[in-house]
Amino acid sequence: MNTVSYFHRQMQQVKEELLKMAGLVEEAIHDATTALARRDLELARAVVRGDRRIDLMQNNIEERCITLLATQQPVAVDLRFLAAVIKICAYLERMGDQAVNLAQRAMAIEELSPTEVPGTLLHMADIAREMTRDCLDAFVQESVRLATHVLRRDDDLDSLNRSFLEEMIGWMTAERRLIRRGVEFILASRHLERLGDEATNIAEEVVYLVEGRIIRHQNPAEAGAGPR
Amino acid sequence: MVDAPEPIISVEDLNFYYGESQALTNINLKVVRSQVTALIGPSGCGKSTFLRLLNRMNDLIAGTRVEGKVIFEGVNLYGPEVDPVHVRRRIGMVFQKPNPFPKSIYNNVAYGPRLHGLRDRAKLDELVERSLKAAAIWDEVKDILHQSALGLSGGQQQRLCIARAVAMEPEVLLMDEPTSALDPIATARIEELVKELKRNYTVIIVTHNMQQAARVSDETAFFYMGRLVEMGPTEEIFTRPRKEQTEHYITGRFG
Repeated sequence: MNTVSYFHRQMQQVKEELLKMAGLVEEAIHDATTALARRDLELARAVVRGDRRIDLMQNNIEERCITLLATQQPVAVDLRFLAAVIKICAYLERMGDQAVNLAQRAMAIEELSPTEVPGTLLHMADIAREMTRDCLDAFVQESVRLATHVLRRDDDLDSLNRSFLEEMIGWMTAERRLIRRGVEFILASRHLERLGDEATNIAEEVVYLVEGRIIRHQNPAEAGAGPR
Repeated sequence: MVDAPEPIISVEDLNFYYGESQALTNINLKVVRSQVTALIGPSGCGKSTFLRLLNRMNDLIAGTRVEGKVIFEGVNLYGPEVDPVHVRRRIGMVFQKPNPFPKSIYNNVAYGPRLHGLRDRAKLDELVERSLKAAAIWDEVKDILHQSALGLSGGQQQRLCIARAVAMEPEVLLMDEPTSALDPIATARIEELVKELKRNYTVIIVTHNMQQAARVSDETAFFYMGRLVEMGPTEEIFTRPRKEQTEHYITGRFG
C-alpha cells in the first residue's frame, strides 16, 4: 500500500530531523561547558548565536508530527513514537536554552578576575554531557537499559549539585569578595543540574516509546520493573 | 484484581470448516455484556465468519461444520435442542449494505414482530416508534412512516435496518461492517448510535476501519489467518498491543 510506505518514510524523516536537532544540542552543550572550563569567550558567543537554529528545528519537527497525527491517525508504536518525539524535541529545545545559560555564565565568569573553575562543576559538566549522549543513544537504539542508566545517573548529578551549593556557601561566607563569582558558579551548577533533568525526561520518553509505560512521577523501584 | 465481569457470550475451542478448508482455528474468547466489541483483521482472517457463527448464520451455507461451543447466557448455541430462528431473534444482525425491504418505513420495522405474532396495532405503533428512536432516525422519518424505505438515503436506510433489528428486542446486535457503504457523516451518526446502543444491548462489530474500531469499541479482538491473535481493552490494543502481529497490522506494516 502506497499510503503506508509514504507514512513510514515521513516518520523516518521526522526521526532524522530530530537526530539533527539532537546533534546541534549536544554540540551546544559541549561548547558551552568547554567555554566555561577554558574561559573561551568566542565559543560562548557562538553557543548563544546557535540557539535560534535549534528553536526553529523544534517548531519544524513539532509541526511535522502534528500533521502526521492529523492525517495518518497513527496507532501503537507509531503513535507512541510521534507522542515521544513531540516531547523530546521540546526537552531538547530546553537543553539548548540551558547551554545558552551556561555560555552566559562562562562570559560573566570570564569578565571577573582570573579564577579556576571548581573541579566539582567540571565533573558535573562531564556527567551532564554523558547523560545527554546516553539518552539520545537510548532513543536511537530504543534501549530501555541505557535509558534506565540515565535515570540513575541523574541522582549523582543532583547530589553533586547539592554538595556544591554547600561548598559555595561556605566559600562565600568566608570571603565576601567571592560572592559575585560564587553566585555565577551556583547558577552554572543549577543549569547543569537542569540539563540532567531534561536528559532524564528524554530517557523516560524512551521507556514509553519502547514499552508503552509512563514512568514519570513514579518511585525508582516501579520505574525499573517492566509489566511483562 | 477485580473480578472479570460476567460474559454474555463465551466461545470455547471453536473450529469452523467450509468443506475441507478450516476457516477458524481454536477460538476462545468472552464477550462482556453491554460493551462494544470490535473484531478486526485483514480480509479473509475469519472475523466475519466468526461473527456469523454467533447467531448461526453460517448454518445457511451448505457444507460447513462447527466444532466447539458458543455459550450464550449459559446455553450452547450449537447444542442439539437449540432452534436457530430463536437464536437469531435474541442475537440480531445488521449487514454491510443497508438492505431494507421494499416496503414502507413502518412495515420494515413492524415486519419481524408481526411475524412473531404481534398484531395489536397500538403495541406495534409503540414498538416501531421506540425502535426508530433507539436507532436515532425517528425525528427524520416520523412524518413519512408510510413512505417507501427505499426513498431514504444510505445512512438512513442503515439506521432503519438497525431499528428493524432492535424491534425484535434482541440482547446482542451483530454488525458486519455497518458503515462500509456510507459517507463520513452517515458513518459518524452510526458510530454515535453504536455508543448509545450499548446501554441496552451488547454490540459486536466487524470493521475494516481500524479508527472506527478505536472510536466505538471497548474491547478489540484481532484475527489473523483464522486465529484470534490478541484481544483486550481497545485503548491498550491501539496504544500498546502485546503481540507483534497485532502491532504490524494496526500500524499498516502488513496486510
